[in-house]
Amino acid sequence: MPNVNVFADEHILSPAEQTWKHYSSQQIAMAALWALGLLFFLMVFAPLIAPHEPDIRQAHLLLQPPSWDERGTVDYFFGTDDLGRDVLSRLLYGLRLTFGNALLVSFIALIIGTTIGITAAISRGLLSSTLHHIMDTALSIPSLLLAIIFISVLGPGLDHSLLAILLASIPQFIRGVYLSVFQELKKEYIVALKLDGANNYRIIRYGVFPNIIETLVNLLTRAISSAIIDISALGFLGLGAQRPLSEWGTMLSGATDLVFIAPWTVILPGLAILITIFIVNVVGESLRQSVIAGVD
Amino acid sequence: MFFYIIRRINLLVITILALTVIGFYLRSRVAGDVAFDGNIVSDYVNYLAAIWQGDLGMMSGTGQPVLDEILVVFPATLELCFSAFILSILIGVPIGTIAGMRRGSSLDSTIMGISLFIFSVPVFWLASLVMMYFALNWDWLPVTGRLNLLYEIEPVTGFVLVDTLLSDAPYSHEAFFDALKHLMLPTIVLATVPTTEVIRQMRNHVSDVMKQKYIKAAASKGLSKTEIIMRHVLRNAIPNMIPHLGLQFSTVLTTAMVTEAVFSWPGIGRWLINSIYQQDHAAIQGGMLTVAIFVVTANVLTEILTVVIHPIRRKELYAQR
Repeated sequence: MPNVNVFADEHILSPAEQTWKHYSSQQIAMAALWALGLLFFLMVFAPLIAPHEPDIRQAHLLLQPPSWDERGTVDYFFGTDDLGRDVLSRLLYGLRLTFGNALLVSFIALIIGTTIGITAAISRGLLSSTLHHIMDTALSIPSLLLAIIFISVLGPGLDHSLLAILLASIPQFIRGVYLSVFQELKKEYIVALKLDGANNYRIIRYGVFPNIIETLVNLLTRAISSAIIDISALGFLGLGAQRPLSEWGTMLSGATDLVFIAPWTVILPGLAILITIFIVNVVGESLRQSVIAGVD
Repeated sequence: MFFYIIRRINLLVITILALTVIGFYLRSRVAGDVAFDGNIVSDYVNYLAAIWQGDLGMMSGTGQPVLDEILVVFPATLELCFSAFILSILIGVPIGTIAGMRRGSSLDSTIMGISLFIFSVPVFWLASLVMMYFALNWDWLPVTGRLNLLYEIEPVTGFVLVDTLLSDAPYSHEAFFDALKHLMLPTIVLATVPTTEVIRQMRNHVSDVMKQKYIKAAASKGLSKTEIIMRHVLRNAIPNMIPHLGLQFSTVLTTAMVTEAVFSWPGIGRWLINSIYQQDHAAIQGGMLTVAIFVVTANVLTEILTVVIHPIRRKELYAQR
């Protein structure tokens, strides 16, 4: 028997569906999302795609120009650096170190920050107010400065810089989640849930959570883009990833002396950082607009 | 209002105390410094008393007091920050106003697209490229340092631009312009990201104001577009910008620390990073405390200033209570 729909059932879009409807209608936003997917693909399959080992030094192939130069070869598509290492392979592996670590750090910060933020929002009194104050101050210090402060205690190194960036990005999540959960809890459907006898877990899981997903995604994209900047800035300053790791900022700092004889070793890692951050920012910004459009 | 200010100052004190705990930890790793006797509470009190009197310890390398060095390097950073900050406001406010007046137009989306792109440029990379380009092509603009070594200027305020003007040396004029030239490239590089942020905020505030009824009323009274902008739009939009500008300043200060490293600007960023390399704990402690306390104080002052000069904010405050 065919499924006959007797009642004109109107499907009401959830906030997330509304946001997606608006988001997917924008071409630039979709292009950026696909580009983000491509970056993710390149990151996961970097060892298969990279034509050479990133750390192999070839003394006979020092500072080979990129393939579009007259003296360049297709074998070393983006040329080689001052130790004869293939720049393309290093950039691909660097995608893991810079972009991958930024994703990792941001996701961990998301989980920790969301947990603390929700706890703070449903609790009353001293805990809530203390958290609020601590967050206010922690937020007023820029994440890179906070990371430098942590590193000044921990000492330089990739692990330390990641830990520092993680600690520095958690406050943003706590604050964002706290505010949106707090606003959500005041709404009437939450009161209805409470009157139905729902406990705190059910209120959060079925009442609040579906309505703050966009806030979370929004916070996440911001965190990722600032984590990329911070990881590469710390790498550039020599406080984060150390040589010979092919973290993009570290690659740049190693190449600045070569800028006159081998400009590609400086331009390419910088472009990689720029493009990655730009893609993440476009996705984030379009999402923000879609959330606003969905609410209107 | 009064309670609000008290609460903010209270918060400021608590934050600074929290920062001194980190400073205390760093300082306790310096051997034979402040008279520490092993009791953590009395040690901490001793430490607070020491930094209250300006004793930030000695540099492990030179034996100089940390405070003396900070008084030399910190003004250099502030000079760079102020000039970049002013530049970003001078460029950002007009462009943001134009975009906000025509929200939704193709001009607006072009401006916003470009500023989002510039916002994504890593500042240390831009600095390296600018340095390369100017060093190769335009050698009249110096790319490193703060002042040509030819000029010897007595530091009075620590701000070279002011010092050269105050100086009574015969070459003080030339020195002033030389300092200005040195300042130019780092300022432009440092100003890029804050400019995009100012544009974005200004555009949002202007377009909010444009939706108000009093703008419609002004237009129906027959005021010209420029009159509306000058009399109504800017007056209502700019006070809203103040909290953003305050937060922006701390971002500028952090970015400056990175920019300094590229342009060999003798500021606190370069100095602090060198101290971290050398594991000079007293210097790290001093630099960290100086920058962090400055940032937090600037932010709290901005918040108080916003409430004081902006009545609408005050209304929100009363409603909260």
